[in-house]
Amino acid sequence: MLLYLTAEDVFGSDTPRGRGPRPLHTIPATLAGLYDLGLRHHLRSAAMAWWTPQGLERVPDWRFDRLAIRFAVFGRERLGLTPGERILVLGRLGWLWPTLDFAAMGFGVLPIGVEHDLGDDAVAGIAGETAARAAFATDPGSAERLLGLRRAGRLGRATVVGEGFVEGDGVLALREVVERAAVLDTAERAQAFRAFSRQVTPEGEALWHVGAHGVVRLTHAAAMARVAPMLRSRPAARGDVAYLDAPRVTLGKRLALAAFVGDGHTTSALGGEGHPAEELAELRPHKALVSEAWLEAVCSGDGGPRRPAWLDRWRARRRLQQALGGRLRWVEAQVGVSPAGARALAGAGVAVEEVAGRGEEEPWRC
Amino acid sequence: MEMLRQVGELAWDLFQSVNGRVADGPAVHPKWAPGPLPKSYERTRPPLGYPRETDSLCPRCVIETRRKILSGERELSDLVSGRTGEVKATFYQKGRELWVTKTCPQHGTCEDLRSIDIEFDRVIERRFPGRDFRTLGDALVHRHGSSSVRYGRGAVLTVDLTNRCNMMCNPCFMDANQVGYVHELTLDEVKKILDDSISFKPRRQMVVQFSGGEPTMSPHFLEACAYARRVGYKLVQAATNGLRFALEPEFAFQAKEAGLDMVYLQFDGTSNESNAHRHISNLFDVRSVAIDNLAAAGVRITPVVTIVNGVNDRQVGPIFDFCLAHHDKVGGPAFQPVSFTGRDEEVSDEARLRQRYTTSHLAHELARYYDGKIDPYRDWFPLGVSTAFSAVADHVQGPEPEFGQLSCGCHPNCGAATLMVANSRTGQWATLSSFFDLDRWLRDLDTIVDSARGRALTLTQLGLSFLRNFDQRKAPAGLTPLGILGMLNAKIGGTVRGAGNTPRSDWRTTTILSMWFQDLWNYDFRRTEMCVIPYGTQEGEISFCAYNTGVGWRNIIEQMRQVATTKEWYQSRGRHQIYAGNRPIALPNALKRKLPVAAAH
Repeated sequence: MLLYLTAEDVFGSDTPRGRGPRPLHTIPATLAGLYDLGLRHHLRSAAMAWWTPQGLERVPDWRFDRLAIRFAVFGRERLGLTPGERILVLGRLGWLWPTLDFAAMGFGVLPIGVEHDLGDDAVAGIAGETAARAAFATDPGSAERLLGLRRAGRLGRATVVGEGFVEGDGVLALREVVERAAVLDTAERAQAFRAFSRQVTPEGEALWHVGAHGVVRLTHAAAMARVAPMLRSRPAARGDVAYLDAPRVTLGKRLALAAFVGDGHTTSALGGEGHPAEELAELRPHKALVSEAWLEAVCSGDGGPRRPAWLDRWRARRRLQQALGGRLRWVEAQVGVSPAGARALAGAGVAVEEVAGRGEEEPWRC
Repeated sequence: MEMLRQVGELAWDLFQSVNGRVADGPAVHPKWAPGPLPKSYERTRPPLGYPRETDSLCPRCVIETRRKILSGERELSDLVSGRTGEVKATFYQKGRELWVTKTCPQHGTCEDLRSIDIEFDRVIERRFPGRDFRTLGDALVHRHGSSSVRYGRGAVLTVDLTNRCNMMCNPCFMDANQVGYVHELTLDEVKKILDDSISFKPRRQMVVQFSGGEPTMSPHFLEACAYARRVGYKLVQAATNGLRFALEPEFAFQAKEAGLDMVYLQFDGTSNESNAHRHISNLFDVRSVAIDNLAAAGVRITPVVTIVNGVNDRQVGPIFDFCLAHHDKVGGPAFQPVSFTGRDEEVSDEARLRQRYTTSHLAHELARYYDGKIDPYRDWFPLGVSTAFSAVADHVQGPEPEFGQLSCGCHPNCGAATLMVANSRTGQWATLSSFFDLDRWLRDLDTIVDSARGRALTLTQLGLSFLRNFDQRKAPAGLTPLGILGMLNAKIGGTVRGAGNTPRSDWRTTTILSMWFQDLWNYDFRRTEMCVIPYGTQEGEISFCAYNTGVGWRNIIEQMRQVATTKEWYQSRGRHQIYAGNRPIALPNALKRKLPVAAAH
């Protein structure tokens, strides 16, 4: 189900004059090209932001770009990855997801995203079937799981990279990788990476995504077919903030991250777990990709309209506006929204567009 | 306009006739300073004039001692407390020239040229307004025996991020790529250096300059820029050969976003031929691309020219022409007369005397090239005059600011500059002192600071002094008093009109700067103790010359703190490209930095 909140109609827009939504003039044919475009021509202060115990941490575009280049170069020169090979990414939503997607796609390596709630047998099976050369964990829990699988000999030849490891045979600590990769970040290697990413073809495989629903394989052309409509019909404005709730990483979120980094305007804010109201108050997102549970929590939490039907229209609108940060333009719910949630939004005077039967493989619709 | 000047003259005299009869106000004691702001007559001065004797070093003793310390035969403490290699040196007049001579009981006498025109040096020294505060609370930062910095805060903190480089120049301060080991700071070390540097008094605004080696080779370059900006450094600079900015246009934009404000761009001439000694056959073309990319990203550029007599000494005029013609991209040049150090330390006496170039050479060469339009005696001022400017700004800003104004109060023998105005539309230019009596203005500034009146009276005096010293008849056509006031306002920290309130104008200020770093043959400890370009290192802050030449702290610290031998580094971390061998560099197209968007909906 897709919910579309017409924030301009309901809340008004606080987008500065002259800085309204601006669609990309040309939409690249590949995800690698989209990332490259967004990072070369960006007009934002931070590509990513995420919640830490100290508050919101912002990652400027230059740091995101350099990290992606460094991972790519490290993969090529230290892990010996060549175009066509595969890497596995397992874990909760975090900065490593888009970084690795960009790094891998830019060098023609296929990133296989595995949702963190998949069982060990499934993860081992995917690693074995795909003959992944490296397995990256995006959070400490997933790192432990991969390490366990590696020790049990169930990851094939994949080198495991994750936080908190002591380096050993076939195991690399993420911090070490970042540091060693940094030294390889020279002008010549960076330009080679950029040049390569521009040569990726639309027919080439872009990414795989593995979840409870099975495996989704997308070529660059197929991935762009899902991303491009959103870029065209819902263009980003300068200063936009997109919110993605944790912990689950869906295909939709991976593609959305590609779109947000690629549009050159949007800061993608990755939510933490357990404090949605706090996050919304600080982030005040313009758009969100969230789960039903998250939406329900926000709409029915303290200060939210429990029974908006008995409230007058203005108060309901105000409460929802406050609950959502006041700037939300649209929400894509990753799964169906309950009738109560939908009623809450409708009660606040928000136009709700429902798209029934939309699955992971359908084009993005707004 | 002449009437305006005469009115200013009269009003100033009238004002001072009263001002002089009223007791001077008490000096302000700002939070950032170790004491009340000194009056002009309270500022100390190093011994100046010729002939004079000073403390120097024997070139041979120093090299031998350094070698023994590095090999473990002698202790490092000998260097700190042993006054190793120190001898007396005498500056003396020989004909019209100024020479330095010193005699070592072990190695005999050595002589070198200090200036081809002693009168020029006398003028520069006469204009020196005095030193900044003595430092306080800096025992952990300045702990290098007779090489320690003792006065002021410095203006530019230089931090060498790495000794790796992607070129193989000659000359090279640090013998990059040839010393056999890699010395590279971690990000935590960079942060500590930057934090320590603002931990003692006087706590003045500072510029940080990341250097090397080639600083853009450091994996922490961008992060270091971002951190320096975050902790409040006034300006973030990088001393670079520009290759990375040419080879990777995106890097210029990323550096700007990270916090880089300005690059000191290595620049040896305006043709590939004049850059040939750097061993890249199209180096000028490469630099041009770097300039385009940096300018597009909004990074200011100061071309830095090391001048070697007989190599590129005839390029100084064309280089300034280039800067004027490309004013939209580059600022005035910073010339650095050659300092024989690093891989040049073993230079023969004959080659050294043949290649020796001094600030006086530069002043006279520019006078010759521009037919006297830049006058060596009228237009050149020691960099230390900045002390007079910052004293006024500090006085006006009172006791509250956490940081004092940036002050470049170095020894008058260290550097000199000529301040100029140029019109970006018509191409007209003139030295400021050709139509504005800078000498008298500096004296007026001292009078203003010494009398220590309130803000309103101080600004009134500044206005009157400005009027009486500005001669419209000699000024370039179209340059108004308000225009020049706006430009001078920026030079004294926005004291008159507030920072950032300079109106838009075709006129702008530019400078020709000469910074002559010492080498072992002309070394003077009176200069190092008031250094304004300290090096921030893992072993505290060391004066530029003590670090690169002098007793050679660079060699010692880098070897002590090396992270790997070059061979080990290449094996464990990978090689980087080195451009040399007189081959050209293939260049990418410049990046067009404009988001390709359709018209706004």
